Amino acid sequence: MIVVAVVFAVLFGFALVSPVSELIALPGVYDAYGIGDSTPWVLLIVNVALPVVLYVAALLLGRGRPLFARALILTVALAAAFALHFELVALVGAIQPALT
Amino acid sequence: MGTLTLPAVCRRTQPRVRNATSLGDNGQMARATPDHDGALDDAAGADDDEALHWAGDEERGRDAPRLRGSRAPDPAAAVAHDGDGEREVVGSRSRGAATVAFALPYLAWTICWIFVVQRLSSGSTDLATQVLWQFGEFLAMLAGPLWFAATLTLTRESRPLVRVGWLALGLGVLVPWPLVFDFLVALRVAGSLS
Repeated sequence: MIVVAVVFAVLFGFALVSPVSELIALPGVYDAYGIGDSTPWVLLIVNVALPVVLYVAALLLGRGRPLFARALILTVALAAAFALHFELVALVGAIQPALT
Repeated sequence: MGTLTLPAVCRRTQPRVRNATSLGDNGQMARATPDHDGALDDAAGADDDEALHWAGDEERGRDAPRLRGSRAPDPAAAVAHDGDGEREVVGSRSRGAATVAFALPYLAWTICWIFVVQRLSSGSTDLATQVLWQFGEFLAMLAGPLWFAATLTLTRESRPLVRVGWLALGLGVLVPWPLVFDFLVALRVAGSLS
């Protein structure tokens, strides 16, 4: 079980790369365009927190289940983490003010 | 050669063995007499039957001794078992209906996510970033079928409402918002043109 948890921790780490880079880079881009006040901090932070939350939730949900069920739950959580990341990216783009 | 004598305890218990040979008081091997042996055996049997009954057994239809392998069927338990079976059949049908009802939306979501993934771009020329992005796109496309299959697998023994709940949650989480936003933008553009 520990091997599965570690492997999925690495995969969830991959899901964190893009949100973290966006959290670091996007405020600078917004500032450069003069819309720094409209930086969607909440969405950016939720974007980073989601993979962690989903990983922990999947681990908790899989407690006491067979190994296959745990791996299945973690796989679904990983896929949902990526899908939610793309949803949040789209939402950030949708609410972005017009650039001047 | 002297005669053998048994202690009083042995003499008292010995007659319970039906048709067994026993040692008489005079120490000689003797056949137990049917009258003496049968009377004691019947008394012991009645005691055993009484010991194997619980108060109120007659009212519940249990009149046989509770011996392993010879337990009388409990009518109340049989009714309960039949009720469980009916509930299980109804539950199985409900789960099947929920599965069919949610299959189409999940299929639609999957197709929508395939379109979403075609429109997304990492915006980076770094190879590692592109590989990770495409890995994410691949999993995002499979998120719907994975959620659906996992729900079916893991709620096989659950109540129908549990399966419906998880399937509904999956539909809510995996709404293809990028496509919805694009659709809204297209509507706005069309509205401004007309």
